[in-house]
This record gives sequence, structure tokens and C-alpha cells, in this order.
Amino acid sequence: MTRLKLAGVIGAALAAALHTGCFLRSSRPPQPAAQANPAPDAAAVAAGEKKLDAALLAITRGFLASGGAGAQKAAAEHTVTLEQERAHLQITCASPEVVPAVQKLISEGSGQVEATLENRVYALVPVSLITRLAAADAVWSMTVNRATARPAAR
Amino acid sequence: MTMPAKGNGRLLWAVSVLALALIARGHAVDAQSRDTDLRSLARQVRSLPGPSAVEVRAKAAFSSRSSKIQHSLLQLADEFGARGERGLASKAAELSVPVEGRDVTVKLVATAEDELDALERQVRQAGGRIVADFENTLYAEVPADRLEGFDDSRALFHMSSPGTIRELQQALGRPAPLSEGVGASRVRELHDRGITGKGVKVGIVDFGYRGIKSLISSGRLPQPKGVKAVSAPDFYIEEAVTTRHGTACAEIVHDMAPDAELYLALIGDGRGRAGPQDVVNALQWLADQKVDIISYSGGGQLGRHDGNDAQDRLVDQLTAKGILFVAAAGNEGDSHWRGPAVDRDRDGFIDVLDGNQDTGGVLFAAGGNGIEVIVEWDDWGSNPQLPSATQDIDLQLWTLVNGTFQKVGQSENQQQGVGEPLEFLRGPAQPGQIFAVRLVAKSVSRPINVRVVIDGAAEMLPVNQAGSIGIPATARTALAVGAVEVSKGQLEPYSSHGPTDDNRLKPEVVAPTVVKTMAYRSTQDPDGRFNGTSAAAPHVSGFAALIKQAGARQNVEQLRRTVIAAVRGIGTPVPNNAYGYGHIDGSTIRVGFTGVTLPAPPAAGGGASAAGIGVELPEELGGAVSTRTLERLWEMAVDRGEDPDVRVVVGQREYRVGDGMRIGFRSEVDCYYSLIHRSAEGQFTVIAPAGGESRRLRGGERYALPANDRDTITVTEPIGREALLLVCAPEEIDLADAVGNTRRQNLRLSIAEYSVVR
Repeated sequence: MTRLKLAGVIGAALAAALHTGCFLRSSRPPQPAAQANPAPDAAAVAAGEKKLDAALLAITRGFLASGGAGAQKAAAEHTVTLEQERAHLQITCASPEVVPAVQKLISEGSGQVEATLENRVYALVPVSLITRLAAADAVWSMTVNRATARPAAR
Repeated sequence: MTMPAKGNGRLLWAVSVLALALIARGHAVDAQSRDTDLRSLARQVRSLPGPSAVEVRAKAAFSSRSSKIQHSLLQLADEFGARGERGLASKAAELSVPVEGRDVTVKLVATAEDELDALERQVRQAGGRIVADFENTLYAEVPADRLEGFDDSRALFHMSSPGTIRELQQALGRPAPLSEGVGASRVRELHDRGITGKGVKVGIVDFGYRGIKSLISSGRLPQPKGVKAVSAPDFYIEEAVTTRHGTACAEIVHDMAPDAELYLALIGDGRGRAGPQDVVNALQWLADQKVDIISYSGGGQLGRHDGNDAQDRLVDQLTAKGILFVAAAGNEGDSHWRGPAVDRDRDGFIDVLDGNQDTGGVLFAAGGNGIEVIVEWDDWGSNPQLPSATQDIDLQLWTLVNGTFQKVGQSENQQQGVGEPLEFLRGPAQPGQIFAVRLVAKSVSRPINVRVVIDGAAEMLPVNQAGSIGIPATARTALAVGAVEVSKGQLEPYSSHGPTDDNRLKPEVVAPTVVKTMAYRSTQDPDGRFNGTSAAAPHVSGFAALIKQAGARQNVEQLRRTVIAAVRGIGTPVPNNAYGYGHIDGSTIRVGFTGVTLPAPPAAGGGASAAGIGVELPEELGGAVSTRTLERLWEMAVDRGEDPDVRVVVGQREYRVGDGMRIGFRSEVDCYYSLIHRSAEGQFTVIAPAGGESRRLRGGERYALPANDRDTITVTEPIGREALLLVCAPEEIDLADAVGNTRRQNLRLSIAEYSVVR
């Protein structure tokens, strides 16, 4: 009975750890729950940059170099509209299974999930969160969400 | 920055061609002729007559008591104040102003179109009712004692008796004026026989429903069963919405299926743009409402065109839930180029071929104040959910300044095994400004096709329509709709064409466009013409609602196939990637005393087996080879015309289902042959010899199928245009290799077409 309870506790702890996003970095050892979203290291940032389209890369670099003003300038150069230093993004997750973890990462970083479709998340994300998101193993690629749907009228 | 001389020369040559095209279409007029035109107009203006006595009196009719309200309306207010409704009625009759009880029908012109909502609110606050609105003008019924109160309104420019309101009221009082598309689609008889879309739920996803309130209140449109503003605070707050596009779509669905129930979802920024997240949320809401049909007169080009875009997959999921998805094919037929990504002259730029001439880039003249450029290539990787582009192409945008091209923009996404094969640029433009899109072949190591789509181009060079179908009309289960001009019956040049990048036929059907609507009526355009594949799609949505009612037990796939069958074929062959299977046609649906007879749908799916397609052949003659290869052979045959040395013939031009049929063929010289059948649905099958291998054909001798010369082949459904393609070559033909460069020169091709009818 005690063993069963212990197994239950361990199972619950594992589930909680999964929920806190440990598996976002599946290739690394699990982290304690309190450090579920640590700042990504330099290698992860470099790997993450390959996941970004040119506009997002420029915005992120602008932000890292000159803060909000730098991001705003880069965004304007790429005809991207920022809403209070947040950008509309289209995030392709590594699989549909990791979508909840990515959604959690977004909401914990003051972003707002706008829609989800299979392994794709559409979200309004603070510029400051882009690097962290891109460094997550759960994220496959990220692009600016361009509002290109339009009426087929002449 | 100046372009290298070699590229510049090619581009300037192309600019000359483009300029000639523009002049030919009247886009460019030289300064001298423009001056002449203006001078002649000035003379006309000077010779115009002065104001007549009537006009002078009319001017005096505006009272000094109010600068904004017509004198006769103030007289009515005075009469009502003095003698009540009876006095009002008497005076109104004298002045020919419509009055109902204490309410006077008036015309209110707003100071600007964006003040219309404020004016509407004031009318309601005064206890009035909106009858209709066109541009910056409201027609309303306002209590007589509240008329003068509008003098203080900042939103009101002036108020007068309605003038044309009687005509308007008469129009509104009649049964709803029908879109001309109703006639062109031949559904009136169905309406008369009770097939009106009753019990069918149609959802519309659209970018704006401005003016819908007045069309509902006037009875032109029914009250929707459900509305949803996906990204706006409220569906009926029209202040921030400038487009009437959705209102016009709702009108057309209602015209086609007057008893269908409407569910309306509003997406986007109110100015006609929306992100995919809005589309996703709108579609999910409509699915929750359990609609039967979704009509989407929108879309885009930013994504993959092989049916595996995320939105395509969502459409397929909706279909799996039993919802028919009808989508506008798109308007990019005249602003689209697609070709192989090759750099034959090794100048670092992908060759953009106009015939045999490399134009150096895609040239276009801007039509307005903004442009968007999309470059996409077929390099998405094997997993539809994880884009994995490896071929790297960059986009450069150049513009012509004082006869020299200067670079004004670039898009340089890195394609290194992660991410999408896409480049995108958006920017300002002046009408008539010349641009060139150049494609940098940064890392292209295998054969791919690249497409360029320009939004905002008045003219573009080169253009090819093939493959210009928009997303999500690309979805496998979507019913994509092309646009036919309602009065001419011809495909509009902008109507997007198939096939998809995975070589599926699109669009499936065509429907009317440039139709009259109430939503778009204005003083500039009294007919309110609605143009684009946007107008065509809701015709098909309404049409599908009729079929849904008529064949209530049909599942969504049967419904889709029945719509495809309920057409009159256009073009050669049928189906084709411009008109699909043809124009929707209600006369194909028979309504009798014993019930409704729907047209027989084409066979489902494809496959390489001869069974189940138009010609039932002996089993041993069935063969299998890549459909794509066979389609390419067909295209080669069409391009080259018939070879006089080989001939395939069928006995009749038209067969009835159940008829016997024999096929004859011969070649003037010894050769090997393969015979390929193209069904009414566009499916290809190698019918002789079996297995895709060729057989010897002796020169000058006539051969026939079936081979023993006694039996005939039985013609079966589906009905429609079919064809046989005879492929001959001096050596044995490996069909899988037949379209390769080394083989195609040796091929001799002959096509025989025929129709199967019931």
C-alpha cells in the first residue's frame, strides 16, 4: 500500500515536472520545477536563431542591442507592426504533443495565444521572449504572422 | 545601388514590353494628349449653362432658420406641431414627402462616411429607424417633431426629402432583388419548386459586414441565426469596419438559397486584412455551430500550394466533420509567375522566362499605393507539419528611377533545413511605379519550381496562370470556385488556375461574378457590382445548400461530388484547370412529382485501374504508371498538336452510357505504342498495352480495340468529356521516362476526344 502511494507521488511529481516544461529541453537533464524556464545558454540561443525568419532575427538582435527602440527600428525596416513591443508570431512546434508546453511558455512570458492549429500556435509575443522561445526544443521554427489573408474581391 | 549592366539590359527590355502593354491598356497617356483632353474639357465647362430659375428657387427653399434642413421638412415639423398627425399627413401629401404616422422619411447626408455611424445613433436616439444607407447617405424615418434637432448634429451635412426613396422603397418592398447569378446559375425553377435551402445552415467567414444592419432591417437579408466577431469587440459595431464584402456575400448566398440559415463570422482588422489565427478561430466557431456549408471568399498565397498547408488541413478536418467548404479560387491569375529555379547564364539570379527570353526578373507596375511580393518554392520537406526548406532563394526588389533600376528592398530568410521556403516583402508604391523582383539563387542544388505573386500590380511581366490557385482553395476537400463574368460567360483573366503543386485539378467549378448587389450600391455605382472570385464562391455555397436540401441524405463527399456534377462543362477538355468541371447549373437537377433527381456524381478518387471510369475495358488491358507522367504527356500532346503520322480514332463523337465502343489507331511508320485514357474526371489510365509497356505497331496497318475485333467496350458513367491519347515512338516506350528530355523529341502523339452522355 505504502509502495503504491509512493509510486503515485513519484508519478504526480513526474507529471508536474512535465507540465512545467522540463521536456521542452528534452535533450538535457530534467531541471527542478523552480528553474523550469531558465535563461537559455549561448549555444541554445545560436541554435534558436536558425529557427527564426529574417524579420524576427533582426527584431531580436535589435532588441538585444538597443532594447525596445532597437526592436522597433528593426520591425519597421521589415514592415512588421509591433504592439507595445509584442509581435504576432506563427510558431511551429516540434509536434502537437508539445503545444501545451509552448502555450504555457508564452503565457508565462506575458504573451497571448491567439489560436492553435495542430502543431502551430499563433500568438502575440513580447519581443523579449522570442529568444527564449526559439531556444526551446519544443519549438521547430518561428515566423512573423503576416496578415495576408484578404478578400478575393476586385 | 545600380544593377549590373547585363541584368539591367534585360530588365529594360522587359520594361519596354511592359510599357507597351500598359499603353495598350490605357494605363499610360502621354502628357501632350492629357493636356489636350483637359483643354477640351475646360472649353466644355465654360460653355455649360448658368443656373435655371428652378435651381434658384430650390436653393431658396433652404430656410434661413436652419442651414442644414430642407425648408419643406421644417414646414412638416411645423404642421405636426400645430395640427398633429392629420396636419402632417395633409402637408406631406402636398409636398410629396413620404410619411407614416408621425414619421417622416428623410435623406440624411453625413459630413463624411465615417460619420455615418454617429448619424445612425442620432437617428435611433430620436426614435427613428434606418431604411437604407449608401456611402455617406442614410435614408431614415424620423419623428416629425425631432427633425429640427438634427440641425445641431456635427455628423449631418444636410437633410432633405428623400427624392429617390420611393424607388428605393419600392425596390425594398418587392421580393428581394436577385443577383444576376441566380439566373446564370439557372436555379429559379428550383426555388419555384420549393428547393430553397430550407433547413440548411450556411456559415460565412468574412472581413467586414458594413451596411448589414440596414439590409436586415429593410428585409433584404434575413436576421442571421448566429454572428461572431473573432477579433472585434462586437459584430454589429460597424465604426471600425470599412468593407461591405461580407454583406455582399451574404446577399448572394441568400439570393441563391433564400431559406438557408446564415451564420456570419467577422475576421480581421476591419480594413480587409486578417491573419491565419482569425481564420482558424472563425472556422472553429462555425464548426461549433454545426453549419453544413462554409463559404469563404478570401485567402492568400503565403504558404504551400500542395494541399498540406495548415489551413488546408483544417479544411480537411472540417470536411471530416461533415462540413462542405467552399472557397474562392483567388484573383491571382494575372499576377502570378511560376517556373523552374534555374540559372542558365550563371549570373547568380534565377532565370525568369517569358517564352524563351529571360527577363532577368518579374516586372510589374504598381496599381495603387502599396505592394506585396510573395516568393515561394516547392521545398517544404517530407513532414507536412514541419517545414524544412533546404534550397535557399532570396528576394530583391528593384525600382526604376530615372531610367535606372535601384534596389529598394530585400528578403533574406535563411533556408538551412528548418523553416519555410518563403520570402516576403511589403512596401509603399506610387501608382504606375515600375518594380522588378529578382530571385537570388543563393543555394539551389536540386530541381525546384519557384513562384512569384504580386499583390497591388496593375500589370505584370511575365505572367503564367497555371498554379495560381490560392490557399485554402488548395485543400483537397475544398470546393474551389473560379469566376465567370455574368454577362459574357467568360472566365475573368484574374481568376486563379490550377493545378495545385501536387498536380490536382483546381478549381472544381466556376460561378458568376460582376453581379449587382445592394451592399455595394452607391451614387458612383448604382448597380453595386461585386467583382472577383469572392462573388463567385457564395453562388456555389448557396447552390450547394439547394442540393443539400434536395438530397438530404447525402454525406459531405456525396454533396461535394454532386455539386461538381451539377454543371455545364466549359473549355476543352472538361475538366480543366481554368473552369474545373464547369459552370454551376440548376437545370441539371430534376424536380418531379416523385421527388428530386440529382445528377450522378463523378466517380470518387482516381487510381490507375480502368474499372470504374468512363470506359470499361477488359481487365488485361489495365495498366499503371504515374498519373503525373501521364498528365505531362497529355499536356505535351495538347501543346504540340496532332502528329499527322499517327492517329487514334473513336467511332462517334458522343456515346450514351451503355453503348458499345471501339477504338481504332494506326501509324504511318513502324513504331511502339501506348494508349492512354483520360476520364471525365481528369483521371489517366494506361489502357493498352498492360503494365505501362509499349507494344509494336506495324506501319500503315489499322489496329482496333478490343483486339479480337468482335466485342465492343461498354461505355459507363460518369458522363462528360473523355479522351484517348496515343503515344508512339521508334523504340520501346518506358512511359515513366517518356517525358524526359531525351525521349520527348521522338514521341508522336494523337488525341481523340468524345463525350459520354446519359
